[in-house]
Amino acid sequence: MKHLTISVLATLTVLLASASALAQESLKARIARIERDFGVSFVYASSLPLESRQAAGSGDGRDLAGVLKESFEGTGISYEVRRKNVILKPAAVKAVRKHTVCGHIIDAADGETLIGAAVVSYGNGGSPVGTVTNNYGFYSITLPEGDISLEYNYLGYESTRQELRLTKDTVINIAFKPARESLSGAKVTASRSETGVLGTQMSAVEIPVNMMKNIPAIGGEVDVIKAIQLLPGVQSGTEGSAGLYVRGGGPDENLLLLDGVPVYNVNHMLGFFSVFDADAIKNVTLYKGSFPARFGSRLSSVLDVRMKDGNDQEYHGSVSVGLLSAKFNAEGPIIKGKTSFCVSARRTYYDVLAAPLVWMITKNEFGNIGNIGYNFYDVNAKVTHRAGNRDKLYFSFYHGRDNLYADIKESGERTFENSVTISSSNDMNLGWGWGNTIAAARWNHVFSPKVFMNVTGNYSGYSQSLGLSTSQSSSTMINDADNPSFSAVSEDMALGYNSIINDISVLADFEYAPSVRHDVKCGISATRHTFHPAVTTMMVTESSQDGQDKVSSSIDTTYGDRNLLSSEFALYGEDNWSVTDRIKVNAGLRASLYAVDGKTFGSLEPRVSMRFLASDDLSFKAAYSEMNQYVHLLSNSVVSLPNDLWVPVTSSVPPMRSHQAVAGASYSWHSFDFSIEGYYKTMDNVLEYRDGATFFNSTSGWEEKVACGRGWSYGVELLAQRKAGITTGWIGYTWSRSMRQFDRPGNVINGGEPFPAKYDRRHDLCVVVNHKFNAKVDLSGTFVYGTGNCGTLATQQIFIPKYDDKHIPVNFYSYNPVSCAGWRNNFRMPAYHRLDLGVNFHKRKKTCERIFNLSLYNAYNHLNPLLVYPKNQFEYDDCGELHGRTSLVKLAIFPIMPSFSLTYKF
Amino acid sequence: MLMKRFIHIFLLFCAMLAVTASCEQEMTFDGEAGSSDSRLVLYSLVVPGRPLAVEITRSVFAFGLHDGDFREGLDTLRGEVRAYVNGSEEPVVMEYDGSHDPASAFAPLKYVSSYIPKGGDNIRIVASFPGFPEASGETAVPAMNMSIHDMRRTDWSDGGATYEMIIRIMDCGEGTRYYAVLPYFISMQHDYKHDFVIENIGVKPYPYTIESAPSAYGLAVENLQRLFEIQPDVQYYFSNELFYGKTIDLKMSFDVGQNEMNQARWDWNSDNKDFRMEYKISVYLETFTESLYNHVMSRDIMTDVISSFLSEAPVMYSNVRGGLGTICSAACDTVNIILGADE
Repeated sequence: MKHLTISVLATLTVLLASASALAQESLKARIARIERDFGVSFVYASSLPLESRQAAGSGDGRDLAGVLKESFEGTGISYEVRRKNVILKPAAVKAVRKHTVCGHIIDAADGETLIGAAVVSYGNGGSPVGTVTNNYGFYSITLPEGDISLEYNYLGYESTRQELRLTKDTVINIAFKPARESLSGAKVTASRSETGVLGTQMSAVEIPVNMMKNIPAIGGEVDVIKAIQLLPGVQSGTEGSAGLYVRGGGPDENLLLLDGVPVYNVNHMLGFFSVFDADAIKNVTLYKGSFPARFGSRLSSVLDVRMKDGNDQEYHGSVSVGLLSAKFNAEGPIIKGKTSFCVSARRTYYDVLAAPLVWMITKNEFGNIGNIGYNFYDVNAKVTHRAGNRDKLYFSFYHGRDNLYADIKESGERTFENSVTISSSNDMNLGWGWGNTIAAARWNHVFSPKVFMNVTGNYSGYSQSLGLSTSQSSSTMINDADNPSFSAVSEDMALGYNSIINDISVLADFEYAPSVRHDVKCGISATRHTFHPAVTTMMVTESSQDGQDKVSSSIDTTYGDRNLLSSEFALYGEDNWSVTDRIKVNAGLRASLYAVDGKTFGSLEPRVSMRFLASDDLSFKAAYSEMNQYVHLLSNSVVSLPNDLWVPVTSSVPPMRSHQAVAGASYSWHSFDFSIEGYYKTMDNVLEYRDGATFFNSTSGWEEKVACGRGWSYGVELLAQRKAGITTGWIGYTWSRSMRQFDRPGNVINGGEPFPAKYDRRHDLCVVVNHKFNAKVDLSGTFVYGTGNCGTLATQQIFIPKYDDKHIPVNFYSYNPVSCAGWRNNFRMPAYHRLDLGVNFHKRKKTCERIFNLSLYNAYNHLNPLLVYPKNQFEYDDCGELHGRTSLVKLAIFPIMPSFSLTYKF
Repeated sequence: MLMKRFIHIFLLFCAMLAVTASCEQEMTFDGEAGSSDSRLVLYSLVVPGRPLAVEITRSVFAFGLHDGDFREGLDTLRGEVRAYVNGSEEPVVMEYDGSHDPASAFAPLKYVSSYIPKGGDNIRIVASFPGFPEASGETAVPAMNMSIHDMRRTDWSDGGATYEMIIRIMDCGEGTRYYAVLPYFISMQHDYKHDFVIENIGVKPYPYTIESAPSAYGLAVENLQRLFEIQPDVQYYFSNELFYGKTIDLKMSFDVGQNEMNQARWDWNSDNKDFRMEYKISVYLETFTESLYNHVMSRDIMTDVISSFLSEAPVMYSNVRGGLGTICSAACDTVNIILGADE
């Protein structure tokens, strides 16, 4: 028994071994067997891996074709039988077919397209790949055929996943539902758009509009520009101003786009507010560097503001009343699901509230009254029409105006005992208005799932007009029966000042996604600029009458800068290329031409940015870009005044050019995003007013008032932000330095020595926090701290020599001392810091939601200076002698300012 | 009830505004813009052939009492002013000339030396006064490199004439240099028949009549505007930017009318004294350093500027280390053309 068992076991072992050996037969062994069995010869290259590859099947068939097919199945080696020879070759890689998935992503509640929504594909054996929606909510992604899983993400909305088997080009439109927020932990996924860890874009920040609306503001007026000024790398200029000074650049070096149309002057009320009405806005993105090739014409930044399209399902709106202004917003369908509109309007009523006070001040004994006031208004309107599955039309319009007016009338008549009657009248009428008008018509067309087109025609105009008229007259009438007489004199003067700039543009942009690794954008644009820098008209009429004799004279003249026409053309191309799973490169080139006054300026502007993905949450980026600018803004450096002039380049004032290199890292942890960036930027042909120059009387010869030089700036920016959760906000810190130098012959400022730029601030810290306690109450706070701005302050009085007609100083000293500064921008204002607080009380009613906002601007009443200036005073000393004294005084305009507003949303 | 609450809140806010609003505040000057301490102010124009001199005052802090005497604290006995010529270690001592007016708080202290500078000298002036930081400045004295190369007169049929001259400038290529060519209108020389009593009357710049600006042989026509764009209408200054290290000829021409030519020279006798009146045109040629140019430009701005916080505050040029002021130099020459005289 024992022997039998051993024998059976041995036999089984041998059989198993044989089976195993047979199952593991290498191709080489199988070939040898087939050659033996069928009498054929195998021909193959020695590099074929026959030893290492296992033959499939048993190879025991009687048919050569069948045995060959079975043996080489799945081995990656192909065979071809030629008579008695079998030729072996490596099997050709089977081409994988690809198809494109495209579509639009919208908000399910109101039909608004969502910009920058992420689309990520998993599966089909490859690594995750993705794309984002463009400015019109369109996405396109080319993927290999097969089973795929697409995940759609957008901040504030619930993620969506689509599983499908991709066998042809497919259209998938997604309607996002708002995320359900939980106070214990929000169920919101932060988006990973092109500006985040995964994207190549650096130096770009998106601010959610809802977060922006909660930031406390002056007078309760939510403002886009004020929110942008809280970001690292962005300075705000003077207290309360709407200027943007980005990475050492001037306020004219920012391309401000409203639905893709440039806006020349975004300032209301001397810069305290901007023209952007937050209620009409859907998306705001600021680019501080690493500019995509589709943007150009400005050196320092691009602010891309997109208006809402309007709810194409239901009617909604809001009415808001605050301390300074009233606002109205309405949106809804014109044709449900197809055509929608969005309208918003805003007007200040400061002049209405102040009218009684003005009346009291201007009333006099004769009961005359005057009228002085200021107001501004904005109107935004947009109509969106979906003309089929492939076409969409947009019409957008903006008009805003500031009005400052004064109307004073004085008249009186007095009769004396000697029958002499004297009457007089003085009228003064001042009207100063400025504002923008923008109109755009846009057509989106989807040629194919891979090709998207946008064609735009737009108009942008900025104008300001100042009218001053005075009328003075007096008459004397002697009512003497024997010798009556009458005499009168009058003078009428009318002064007008106008400045206009108009742009008409046509643009075509194309997006092409040929494969999953390439996302190509290209386009062309043409713009006609018309500058009317400043035209002054003056009419003076004088007349006098003595009895029957009348004499009159008049002056009627017009002077000012001549009109300038210029044309600008641009062509660009860029590719967002996923080189590997970890390395992504955006490379682009922009070519531009500018023709003015018989001269043509051209430039090539390379743009490149690169991202290395160290992990899903960490990436390192670097970028380089060149920018050109063909227009300049001549402005007062203290406050933004409406007669700031936009002027084109000339033969003596060449185009500005900048080179910027940036490097940094982005890290994402849960719902927090962190970034650190270092930059170095050079600017050529920047302008500054010469010493002693003023923008007043810039009606002619502005080129002689400015000097041309260069600037450079560098710094480090840190940003930590949270966009999702019950507590959102950001902390931004910037360390930076910005310098200027004007040392070219004929363009010397400061003796040719470098000096700090006006808005050179060493440190800048911003903390913005929004906290939602519950559905009824949310609190927001903003703290800003910054090193003071620079200014030129005369600190010493000296004598300076005067000279004779030969301009040689032979008699050195005049007898009037002069105050002088040691160097330009030698003085630094005190540090700026401010705390703003705001609280919203929400109450939901049946048909509407009421929001009551209380805010406190400058909560601890720190008087941040707008200006610093010397003030002469006189005082007596202990001996009773009068002495003159000059003191340094700061002027602040925004002490603690509480405000409130009431908003109804329906 | 809700409206009542709103009104109470609104009134409370208004009260807060009224109490807390205070917008103008005096500041303490913390010296960031430069020291408040007074410094020496030196001004010296060095001209070849003229004795070396420098005039000294002190600056007064702009924020404070206005009673500052611009000489206060400058002890003439203990102050020391030295000049170093061409890097020499042995200074040329400059003495106070005692010329200031004691009654005036404004007149400078003038220090002079017996040294007569010449073209090519490098002069460094150092001033040391107790209680002030040492101040010094230097300048390279230019040599006169301009001359009238040629001149001709073309008479008109009506008695007037056109004068043309060619001014040759030989730039030495030693840094930025400025030039001025200033023709002067008819100046009258009141001359007791060579007794050399001269009185100039009615001197003023003479406008070019044939060309809007002198044409320059050796320069392209389109450069002419650039040549004079520094001060095209007033002072005819130009730099050597376009002809650095080269020699150029400037052609200047101007008309003299019939009346001026007829009265070019006449003699008369009065009170038994002989008088001669001569009309002439003087052409003043000057080459000067960049420091003098910067001083002149910033001084023009200082005196012309609209005093307003809305205009750019001017910066007074200074090349004095440790102090303020300008040490500069110029070389000049005058060519007189006596009208009507035979050439």
